[in-house]
Amino acid sequence: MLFSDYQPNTFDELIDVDGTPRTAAAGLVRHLERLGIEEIEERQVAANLGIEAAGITFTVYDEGTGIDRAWPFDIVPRVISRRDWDRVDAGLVQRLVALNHFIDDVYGEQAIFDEGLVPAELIAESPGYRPECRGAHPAHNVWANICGSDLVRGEDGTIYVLEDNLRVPSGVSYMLENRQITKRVFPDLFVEQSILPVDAYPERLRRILASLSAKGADAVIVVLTPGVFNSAYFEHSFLARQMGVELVEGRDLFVDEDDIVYLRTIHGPIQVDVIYRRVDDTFLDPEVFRADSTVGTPGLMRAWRANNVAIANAPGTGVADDKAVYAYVPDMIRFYLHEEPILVNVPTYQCGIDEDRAYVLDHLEELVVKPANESGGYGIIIGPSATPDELQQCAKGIRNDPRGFVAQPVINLSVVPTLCEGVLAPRHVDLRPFSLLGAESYVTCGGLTRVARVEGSLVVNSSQGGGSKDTWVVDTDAVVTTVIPPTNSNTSNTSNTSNTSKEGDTP
Amino acid sequence: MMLSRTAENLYWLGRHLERAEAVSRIIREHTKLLVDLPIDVESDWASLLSITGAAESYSERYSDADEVGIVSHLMADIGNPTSVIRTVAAARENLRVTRQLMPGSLWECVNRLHSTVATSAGNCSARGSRLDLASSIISSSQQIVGILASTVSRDDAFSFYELGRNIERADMTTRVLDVRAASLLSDGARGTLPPADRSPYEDVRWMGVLRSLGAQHMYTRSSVGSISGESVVDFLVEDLRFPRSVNHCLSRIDHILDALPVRKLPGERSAELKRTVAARSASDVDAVVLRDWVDQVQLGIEGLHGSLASTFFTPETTKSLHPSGRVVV
Repeated sequence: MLFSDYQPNTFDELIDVDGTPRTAAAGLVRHLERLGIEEIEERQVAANLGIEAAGITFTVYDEGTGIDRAWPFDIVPRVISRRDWDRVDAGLVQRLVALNHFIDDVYGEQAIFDEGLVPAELIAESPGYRPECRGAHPAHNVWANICGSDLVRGEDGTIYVLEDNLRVPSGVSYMLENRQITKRVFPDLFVEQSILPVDAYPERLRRILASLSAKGADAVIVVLTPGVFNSAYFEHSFLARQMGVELVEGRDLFVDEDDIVYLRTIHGPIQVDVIYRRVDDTFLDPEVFRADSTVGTPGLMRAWRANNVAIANAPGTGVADDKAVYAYVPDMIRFYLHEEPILVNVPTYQCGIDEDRAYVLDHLEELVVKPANESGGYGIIIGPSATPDELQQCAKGIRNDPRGFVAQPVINLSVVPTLCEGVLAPRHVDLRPFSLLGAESYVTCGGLTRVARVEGSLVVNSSQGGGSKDTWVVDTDAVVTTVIPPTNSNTSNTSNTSNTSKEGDTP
Repeated sequence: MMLSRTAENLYWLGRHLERAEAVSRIIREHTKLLVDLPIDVESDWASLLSITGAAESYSERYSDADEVGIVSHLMADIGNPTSVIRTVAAARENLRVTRQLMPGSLWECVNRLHSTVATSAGNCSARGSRLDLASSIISSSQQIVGILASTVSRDDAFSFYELGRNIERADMTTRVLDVRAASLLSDGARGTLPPADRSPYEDVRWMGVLRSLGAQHMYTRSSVGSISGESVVDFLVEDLRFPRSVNHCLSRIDHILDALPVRKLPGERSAELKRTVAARSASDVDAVVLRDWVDQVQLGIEGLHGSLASTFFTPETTKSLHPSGRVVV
């Protein structure tokens, strides 16, 4: 049997402790057993060929040069029950709303400092803080319109929020592509059960971006990319194409003396209303930030402050995307929303605080130490698997720049069966769902599951050799009917196909 | 709406794809031509360097102008900006930044072409594998042209691709005339001798000129009597019905310019170019005259390219100075 030798040593997303499939995963596990390992391997090969043919790539940096690699994908999906997911969905929206209150407060009245809930110096020292943004008023008072959260599940099944990525989170295109591939690999399963769709994301993103301009649906929206050599360029291009908007670089835009942003086109200049930027703050506008930036557009901040253009995420949003600020998010939820957090944080020690630092330095070998302001898994030290030399370096780093590091207990990430050299073996995963906030809110059904491909490894980042999986939110309460909908009918309200989801109700 | 940068990339997509196909065809036909020529006839591989403008980059690297060195320089040398491997890679980059405008099948096809060239361009020293590679590049290019012809709307995106393709074609046809035809003509001006007095290999060589532009069959259909240098040059310049003739390319360019939002400067340059082409005296097949004429045409093509760049690709940066004089708000 496929799973007879399968032995996870922590929470398994598909298989329960007694070895039987979890309810939401039962259909998938049955199907895999029916296929057998050889057929599964063949489908993996087919999936890889599809990825190569479609040119789905990501970029790794090696000694300064970017190398395009085929997107690593494991065909065994990760399954979450809809009931679990509804809670996560509500928790993510709650968090994003609170984080936006916080950012608006930081650049406005700063009430949370007056209350003494978050130390003011923490913000003043944060590399994501932009004094140039004080007093600005983005539409709907929302600064972070797009958030990619990193979730992990611990040994006891608890789902933790590990990070709120609010600057330029990436990965959503891979989530969408993974689903396309899985649909081709396991077409039957999508008919047999109710797997919530993910492909509404680009349309929801477009709507939320349009809601940032007074022109609404008529707004001219662009995706701003640093260019083809950026590691996420594939995604920038993908989203622009899916939303039907222009993908632009800084040099395609200019700001005239009227503080209006224009696009250089073959028809002459065209006014831009909303910029979905995938360029870091400091490169956005050489007039205000780094003067040596060649990927930005001079005058962009002028235009933004004059409310002539919306920028998503707004400049300065990174102040809340800081592993030191992260620790205060539960307090923010209580302070701004007067609610209890639905999702929990991983306990976090701030090396900038004396007693936390003392604890961290004493317990380095059992903690994960992270630079407060890096992403992509760069610079992370996992205590239990680090060499004494690495631990020593790490301690030195913390003493030199205490504010630059946080530490967390090692979470033994949950696992999912993963195809490894002819067997399905447990491999650790995390999950990155994407949340949107503007005039309305939206959370993807599932997200991008990243998987560590080395046995026992907890590092899932694709830049560090990790892979990915499709993520299924399965509605086990739905009665799946395979009735072919009548053509030429407008009676969708009375339709009894129950595999419609909240993502299905696009206009 | 189309970004200036997008227009520029689509234009270069057209030029690079066309160039990759053209160079592959020239290599293939020259390789085949050797089969028809006696062993002691000089095979003139160096002419391929002149046609593709790679003579300088070649002499910087190699001392001998031998077949294997030249072919690999033109096919697989990443140090040569006009090599097939470089133009295909450039086309892929052009498409990578414009692929949101094009059907997914085009990207897949260009991607495949790129990986074919990247993996097999090194195997071009042996004639057999070289012919296979060149043929596979040509058929991929034709598949790409087919996708564009049958699944892409005739909008601005297509127009810039098509402009690039036709400018590159006109350019390549005149380069072949410059190097090949002119050298055949100057070999004692035998093109004007009565057929009986000509070298038996001259016909083969003129056929080679036509074949290197994929023109042999259509030439044969359209002409009466035996092949002559004069009628080959006429056909490749004048014949409006043949898609690689200079005149056909120029009339396509005119047609496309008509549909673009701004056309004053490019329109003027295109009209000038047509006058230059028409100024050729059709009965004159003298090598020197032909070369002079080609030089003028090449200058005209450069001028037309410059006018497209200044009008569409890098226009003035303040809104009041844009050539269209139009601000869309």
